[in-house]
Amino acid sequence: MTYLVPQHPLQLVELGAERFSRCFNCGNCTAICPITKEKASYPRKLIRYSLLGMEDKILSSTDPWLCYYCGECSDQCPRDANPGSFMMSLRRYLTTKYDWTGFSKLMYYSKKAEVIAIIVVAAIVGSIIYLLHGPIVETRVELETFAPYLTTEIGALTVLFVLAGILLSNLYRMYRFVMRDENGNRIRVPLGFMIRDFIRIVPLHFLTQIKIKECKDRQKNWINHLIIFYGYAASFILFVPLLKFTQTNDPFLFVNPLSILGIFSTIALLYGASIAIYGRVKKTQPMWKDSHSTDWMFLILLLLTTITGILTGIFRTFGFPLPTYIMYSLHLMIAAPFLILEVPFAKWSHLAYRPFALYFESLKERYLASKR
Amino acid sequence: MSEELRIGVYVCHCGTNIAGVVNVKDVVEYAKTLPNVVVAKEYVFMCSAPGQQIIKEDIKNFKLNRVVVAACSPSLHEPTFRTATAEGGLNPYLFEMANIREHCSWVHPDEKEVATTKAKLLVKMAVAKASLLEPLSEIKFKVNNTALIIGGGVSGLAAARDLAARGIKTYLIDRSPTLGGRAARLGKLTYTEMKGIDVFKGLIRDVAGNRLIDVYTNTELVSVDGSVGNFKVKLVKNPRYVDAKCNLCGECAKVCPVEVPDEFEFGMSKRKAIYLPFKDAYPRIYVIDMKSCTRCLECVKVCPVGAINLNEKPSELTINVGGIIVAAGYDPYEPKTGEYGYKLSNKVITLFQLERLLDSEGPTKGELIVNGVKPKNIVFVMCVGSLSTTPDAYPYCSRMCCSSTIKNALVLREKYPDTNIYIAYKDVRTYGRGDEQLYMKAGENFVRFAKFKDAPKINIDQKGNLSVTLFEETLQEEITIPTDLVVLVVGMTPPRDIDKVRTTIKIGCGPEGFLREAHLKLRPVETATDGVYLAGAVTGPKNIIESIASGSAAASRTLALLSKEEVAVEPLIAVVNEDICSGCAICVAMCPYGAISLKIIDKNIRVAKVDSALCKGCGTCAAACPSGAMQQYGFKDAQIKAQVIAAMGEV
Amino acid sequence: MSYLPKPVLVIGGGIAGIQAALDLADQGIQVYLVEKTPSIGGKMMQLDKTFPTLDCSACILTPKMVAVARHPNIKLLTYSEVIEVTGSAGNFNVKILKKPRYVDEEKCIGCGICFNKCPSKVPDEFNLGMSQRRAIYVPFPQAVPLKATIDKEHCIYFTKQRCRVCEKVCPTKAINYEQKPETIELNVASIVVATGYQLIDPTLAAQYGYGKYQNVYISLEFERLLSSTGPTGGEIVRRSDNKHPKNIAFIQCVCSRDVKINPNCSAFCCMASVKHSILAKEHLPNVDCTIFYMDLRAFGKGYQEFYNRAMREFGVKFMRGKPAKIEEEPETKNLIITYEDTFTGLKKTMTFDMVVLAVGVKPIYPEALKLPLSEDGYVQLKNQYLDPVLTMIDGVYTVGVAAGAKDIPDSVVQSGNAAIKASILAGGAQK
Repeated sequence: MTYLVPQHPLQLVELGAERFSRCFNCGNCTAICPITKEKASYPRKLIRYSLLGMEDKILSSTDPWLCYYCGECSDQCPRDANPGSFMMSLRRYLTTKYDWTGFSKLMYYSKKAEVIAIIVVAAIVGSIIYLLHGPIVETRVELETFAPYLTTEIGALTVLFVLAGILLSNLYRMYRFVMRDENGNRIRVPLGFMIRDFIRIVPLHFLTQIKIKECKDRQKNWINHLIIFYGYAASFILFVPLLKFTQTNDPFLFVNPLSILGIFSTIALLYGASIAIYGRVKKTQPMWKDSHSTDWMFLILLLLTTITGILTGIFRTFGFPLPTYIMYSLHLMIAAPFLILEVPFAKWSHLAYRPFALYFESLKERYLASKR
Repeated sequence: MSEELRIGVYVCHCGTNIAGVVNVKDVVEYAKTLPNVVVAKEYVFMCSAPGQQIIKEDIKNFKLNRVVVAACSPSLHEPTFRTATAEGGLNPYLFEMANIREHCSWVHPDEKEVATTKAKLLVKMAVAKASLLEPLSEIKFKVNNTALIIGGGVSGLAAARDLAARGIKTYLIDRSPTLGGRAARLGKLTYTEMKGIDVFKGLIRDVAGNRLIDVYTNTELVSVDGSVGNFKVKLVKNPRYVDAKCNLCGECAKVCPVEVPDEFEFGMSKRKAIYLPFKDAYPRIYVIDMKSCTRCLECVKVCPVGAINLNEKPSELTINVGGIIVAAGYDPYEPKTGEYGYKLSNKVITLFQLERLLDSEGPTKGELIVNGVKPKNIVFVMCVGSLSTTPDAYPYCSRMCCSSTIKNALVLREKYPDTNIYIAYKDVRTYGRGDEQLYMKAGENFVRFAKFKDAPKINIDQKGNLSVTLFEETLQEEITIPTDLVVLVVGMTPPRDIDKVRTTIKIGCGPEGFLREAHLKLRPVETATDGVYLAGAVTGPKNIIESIASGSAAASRTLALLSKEEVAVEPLIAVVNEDICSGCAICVAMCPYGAISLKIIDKNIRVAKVDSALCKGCGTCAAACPSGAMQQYGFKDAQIKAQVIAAMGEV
Repeated sequence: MSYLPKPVLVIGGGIAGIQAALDLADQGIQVYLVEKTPSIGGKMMQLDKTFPTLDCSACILTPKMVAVARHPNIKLLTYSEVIEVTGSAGNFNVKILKKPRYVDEEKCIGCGICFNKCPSKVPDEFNLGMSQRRAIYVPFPQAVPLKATIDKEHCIYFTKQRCRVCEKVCPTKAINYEQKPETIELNVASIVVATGYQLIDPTLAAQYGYGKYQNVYISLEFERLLSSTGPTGGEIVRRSDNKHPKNIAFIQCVCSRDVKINPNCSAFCCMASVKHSILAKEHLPNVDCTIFYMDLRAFGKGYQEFYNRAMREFGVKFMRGKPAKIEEEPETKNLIITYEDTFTGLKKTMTFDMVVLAVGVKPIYPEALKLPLSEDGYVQLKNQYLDPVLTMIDGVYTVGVAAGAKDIPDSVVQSGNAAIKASILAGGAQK
């Protein structure tokens, strides 16, 4: 017996699903979807599960993570029920469900809470900088003196480990939700398979996000995704674990390979974020047609982090001590909430959930195959 | 008749209906060889204007005096070809038809050779009979320009309103104590803010007090004699026990000690034995339900105007009308006890009961209160009694229920926004104008639709909690919906006792019991009996608008009949050869229409006499007559014998 | 009865208009029946058989058409259009433009010699362009009136000032190239609008490739293929290779129930397709028929039984799911349909030799009446319940598909309804 939660679909409306309750169950969306395989019947079935309140079915499904929102289904939906935006809202919904801390829920369901959370984190970082910053050298730029490497790095690494911890625990929760058979019973797969599939699937899809290409006409999107992803990854590595080498008092060296990487990564981020913001404003692609407040917040913070980072670099290179310190403080105040809030609790968690969804799906397949 | 026989034979292709099986050319060539046939032709559609033109021209060109058409069933096109024959200048009864479609090509689609041979034989038989045909003239009757409408629901009311508007005197009868039928009991209607009662009031405005409309409530049909244009109808008016002096003061009901379930509210509240059926009932007179009355006489004592008379007796009356409209309506399907949990829990109700609950004048004043509480979760189960969902259910679709259910779901969602509504459906058939938009609006308002194939199960646990279990066909999964209220969307069934009316007036019916139209598509408000018309749901499920439209359409056809001075009927009736008739009176007893009597022509000689107005030409008397004195025009023994001999012979 | 009733105007000579005209005429009312094409008959004339009785459409309709022509109370104005309406209920002044046929209706006997000799061949609209007619023609052999009409746009004389063959061969000298449009003015009591519908452009549902793939048909084309009077003489053959199809797909709700094209349900297509599948099976016993549907709207009398028969007796397959696209196999011209079988949740493709689209309908209204329309594109009604056929203009009634998509029996019922309403205005109380 399936337990019904009649309120379930209303949550999706709050998470940005539009008009999906108009669905009259024709299956056009499933048929037109370029990535559904013979057996996978979505978006239709997911819409039906949701409307009937079959929450368990939604929670145990990995299908929402396979959709990259090409918008074909929404274009051809005879009821204009926008299945694409429904799938998008399902991913938001699942993100709130995987997260045990409740932050995700807070951010997704309340714009106000999101803004307050960001301001609070920024204020905390600001106060820490205010209290713990080193001497301010005004004659020349001494960033390392203003923000001693050790303090900053401890802060950065703490954030890194806490985030990783939360993300991993959320992934475990995802595993618990997903690894169920059609009757809702837990399923287990031998460890050997778990390791083998992990190696086979997770790194590849995490690093290439190759699945987007199965979506229709998504070459450009895929590239933009990769640009943002690698820009972000490079910046993150440069400015968190390698902070020692990047946050120095030495002038910015154009011959330093780290600096060059830094320049490329920030340009990549700037480019990627701008394209996405422009796209969302102009609604050039289906997936950009209905932006949730968290989408905007993510992009704005990403852009601001990048811009403040670049400005810090410029001020330092051209030797403006005070502007450098202030800009760097601002940079940290923006980067921190971005990293702390957006990555594990909101938009960017999909980077982890998508490859893991593929991984869990494959484990489930193995289980079902062994049953047969 | 001494003139030489000149017969024309015309074989119709009927598109491919006949020509696809029968070798028409062969049949034509064969026809040419038959005795007295001077011309034989084929055409793709004989019934079309050019087809008829061929007949008309040939009558002139070939001086034909008999016409044979081999085509479809005479019930379809005999009148067409009779008219063509007449327009060609011949007596229309010198025409004979051979049915080579229904009787031949349609039943032998795979045996072309045999079918062709059979078609030839059928033509041969028709030619043999045609040789013996005699000219007849139609019998004409004066038309009585009044109409009888049976049933005072919306379709009957619409018919009465429209006939009276064209000056036709109309009798409107209903067996219940009030007009209004079923529609008056419905709450808010689908496409308007109006309620069922408003539609009733809108119609009654034109009917009440109309000098051309005589309303008889509590009245039933006893017998119908006569035929088109001149029906003699016997009615019985059952006593109301309260007369028109009633001033609606209501004192009688206050003192009446008997309480019984109120049928207007589908038993959800009580009424007294003396009662007004509903607030706006027409006529506006109280009535006593003698089945539950104890004759305590309390009401008689308190009535300030002395309107009550417990000794009133049924009275018979006879009226003469030219046309009859049967608008007897429908009954909601009544589930058996236990069917979908019906009557096992008072949280299982029908759609009609829900309509009453949601009506501001209903038993709960428009609040949805079941068992004292407001249900939070509601499940509608569609197709109860329809689409063969249960062994007792009918096979047909009840047509109005989908939109009606969705309308109610929307009313509920609007009135109680926090209720969860599930509709368990088999197929959503929102076919009507605006219905699809309504269906979409229901979706937008989060009315959930769950599709079943086999009937859902209603579970009632020991605490009385309800849930509905169904196998969701489009998810291939069994789901159980916990609920506080189950609404059974019951379909429409033929009204109880319709068979009595049906056999009295002699109307056909389908397997499910709804009355049969003369032609399902093109004569939807007429019956096979001339002068008898059908309106509303008595022919099959309809919504209010469709019922009213068909009431008006039936009035339109009736008016077409009644605006004629006289009506002609086929002269194919029984005729007595008085020289042979021995007056044995076997036929008198056999005649189902009472059309034959004995008349004395001499002191001791009595012979049968046929009343041409009553004879329907069924042929029973002719078959029963031991001496052959009784014959039937168009089917005389000699004509039939000729056909039989032709059939026995070779091609 | 000294009162002389006023006449009534019926616009549209399809089954709805025919029935309204006959009802009125039988009630002793003078009727003008205006039809814009050269013959009455309407869409029903193009049908092969009708559901659920499988009555031959022409067999039951042509007698009514003949009755119209024969009725002393009906004045038939074909090839005519209403161009102006003024006045109000009980007193409408109507201008009707009678387009020139270039054939004298009094003289023409419909012998057909002219159209056998006419050298100009034109796609035949009665067969939806699947066959050819001549520039001088009658739309179909059972036309009422059976009078020839010259299609000026395609006539060689009118386009190139030569030919005049029809004039030469006409045995009754009925051809008159000088005929002028004629305006007829009428005063009528009431107007019945029975103008019917047109099919929505099937290319709007671009995913189904109508017009691009040869073997994709619309339902009315299929109706003509089934008909013995159709372009193939009743043979179901493919446009691409004239071969019988081995399997046929029928797709429901094309340009219906689609909020981007037409949100309305067209009411009769489900049953029409069920009928098509049964008739296809009768024509080609080995053909496989599959109907793609979402809800099968078998709501009328005998419809569910008909649907059951198609399933059980004829083995027609019913597939619940709206196909997403059709692709063509270039060599075979077969058609590949991609759909989700919503009963199994499997996404599939299936190949068919022929696909028939059940295209939705939209109403047609005479512009001269300026009828107020509702959001759904159909005429607005004043009081849908108490007077189901009355438009916002008193004295003007709509029936048939012009008043909402519907099947033939419902159209006929509405015609009766409008007839008595129009008659009340025209005749008043009789005694």
